[in-house]
Amino acid sequence: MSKTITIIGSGISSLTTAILTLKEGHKVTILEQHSVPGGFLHCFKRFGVRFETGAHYIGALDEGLPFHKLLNYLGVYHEDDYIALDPENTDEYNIENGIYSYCKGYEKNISKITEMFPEFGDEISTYFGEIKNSAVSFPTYYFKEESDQSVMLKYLKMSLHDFLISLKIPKELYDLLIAPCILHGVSPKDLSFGIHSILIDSILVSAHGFRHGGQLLAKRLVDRIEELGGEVLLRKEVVDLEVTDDGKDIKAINCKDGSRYESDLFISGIHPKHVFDMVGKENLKKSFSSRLGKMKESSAFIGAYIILKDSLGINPLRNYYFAPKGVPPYFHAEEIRREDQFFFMTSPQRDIQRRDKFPITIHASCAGETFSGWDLETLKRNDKEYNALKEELFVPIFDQLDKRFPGFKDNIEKVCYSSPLTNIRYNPTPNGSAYGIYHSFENTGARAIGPRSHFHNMYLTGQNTLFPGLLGASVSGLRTAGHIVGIKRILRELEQL
Amino acid sequence: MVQEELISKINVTLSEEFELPIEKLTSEAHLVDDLGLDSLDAVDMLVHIEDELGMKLDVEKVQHARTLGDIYKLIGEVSSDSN
Ligand SMILES: Cc1cc2nc3c(=O)[nH]c(=O)nc-3n(C[C@H](O)[C@H](O)[C@H](O)COP(=O)(O)OP(=O)(O)OC[C@H]3O[C@@H](n4cnc5c(N)ncnc54)[C@H](O)[C@@H]3O)c2cc1C
Repeated sequence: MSKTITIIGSGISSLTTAILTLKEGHKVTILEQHSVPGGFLHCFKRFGVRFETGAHYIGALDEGLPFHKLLNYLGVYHEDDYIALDPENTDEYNIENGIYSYCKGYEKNISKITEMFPEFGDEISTYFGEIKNSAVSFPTYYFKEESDQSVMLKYLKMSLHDFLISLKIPKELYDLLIAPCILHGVSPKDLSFGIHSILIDSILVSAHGFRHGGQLLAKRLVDRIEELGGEVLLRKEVVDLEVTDDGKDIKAINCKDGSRYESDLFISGIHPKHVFDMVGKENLKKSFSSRLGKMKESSAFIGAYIILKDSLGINPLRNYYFAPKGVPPYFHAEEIRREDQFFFMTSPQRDIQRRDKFPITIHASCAGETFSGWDLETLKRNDKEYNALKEELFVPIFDQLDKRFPGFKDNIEKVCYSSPLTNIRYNPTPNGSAYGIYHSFENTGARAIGPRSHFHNMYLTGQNTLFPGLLGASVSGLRTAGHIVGIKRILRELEQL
Repeated sequence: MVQEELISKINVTLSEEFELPIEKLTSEAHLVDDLGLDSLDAVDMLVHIEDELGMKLDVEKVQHARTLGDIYKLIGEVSSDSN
């Protein structure tokens, strides 16, 4: 039977759920607070250049691989929208002991790392072998209708740290293998090997960037939704959810502009803390709201959007990660410290042929309390202290980059900055974090929040219900849709693609 | 068997978090029929117990528990393992 569905937020997870439920004949309306759709897929313009907000690269996008299948299944895949990153040098990690660059393919990385640690060839092969083993055991990653999930369950319970310790490898090799934690935003002791395996696999098998920005994928998803009869309404900030008298269902959603939406089902694609705040503590089970309150948030982050006068040899088809003092012991908002700062640098214009400028983006972790002296409501654009603090935070970062790319500082032609408050304004998370809830194993796998809620007709989706990243968020949308339309058939169809 | 002390700690936590009368919290109490808990509550319960006792429990086992006694038993197994 066709149902009406209202979805809060238009991130990739919400857009995915929308398409999959529309395909089954349901009627879908999406409410997005921003003036553009896509959540962290959206881009913005500065200095005549398009910068990304959150979508720098995409894993597992070669033909036959999971993201390729999923985007095709959604009807939004266009080869020309993407550009393959440098297969010889996709991700460059600048860590305490030196530089290591991940390249495309398992074998190449195994032999490169074995050359660096010749006595540990077996352990290195075991690590990568188990990454593959684990990754393929997730039914919603390498889409399988039926699968033996014992490997997945085993690795969802083991931390990356414990796995590496069991290999008895030297500290330098350990440090190299945990370096991608900068990318996950979770420390190796808190990160399940299972989740880690998916991220590493997706990068090793293929890594792409957006040729025309993540906004084009958002546009294609919205076009597809409209083609299927759904609607995406912009500037619709949801401020309140009404609960039925018996407390078991959601009755309606209210927006800031006074509009009210009733429907059979409701899906939240926004941060669970925000949506349940709007439901009201009085309508929640105490056990649930106190658990939600205890959940840690991932690190907040700051951004610098820069035009360089010269490319300085920065490869636009490579991502650069820096953890100069070693990969920090903590990544969650409460404990991250200034001295643990880590950052990454990417190029918003990947396509060398079309480049007329040398823009780069830097995103860096930021201690939770750093910007607590300001409040969005009263913050003015020209607040001197606020602007000075943003600049100050980038001083040590620019120093580091100057070492890696001599002349970096002198070559900055234009720069503007973002703070966690910028993120809260444009894509609200409680502390302006990039990744929402801290995805330690306390908050992932069977312990994650969602896709079901304590309300019969309300579902959750998004990076907070599964794992961050475009693929993670999109698969969370698939899982949520699966609860409404049945997951088995979707998986079977994806498997056959 | 779990010691009396652990059981009473768990009961205080469950009674506070799930707003249940403490006298209802007995080994025989059926989680769904007597205490009105559902499958989503299982994870909330596990998180609160883990926080209170500082131990890790197996999600699948907690989800399969039928009675409060099953939960006590699981905790007993974990605490004797770690002793
Ligand atoms: C700096 C940064 C770098 C990243 N780099 C990468 C990368 O290279 N590769 C990768 O795969 N992933 C990357 N990610 C992660 C990825 O972008 C996210 O995990 C993913 O886009 C999240 O999708 P989502 O659907 O969960 O939510 P979001 O994209 O967060 O969407 C939520 C939407 O809800 C809207 N909303 C919020 N509150 C309300 C309300 N009250 N009413 C109405 N609408 C509301 C928001 O405006 C937003 O549009 C990065 C993220 C960041 C921040």
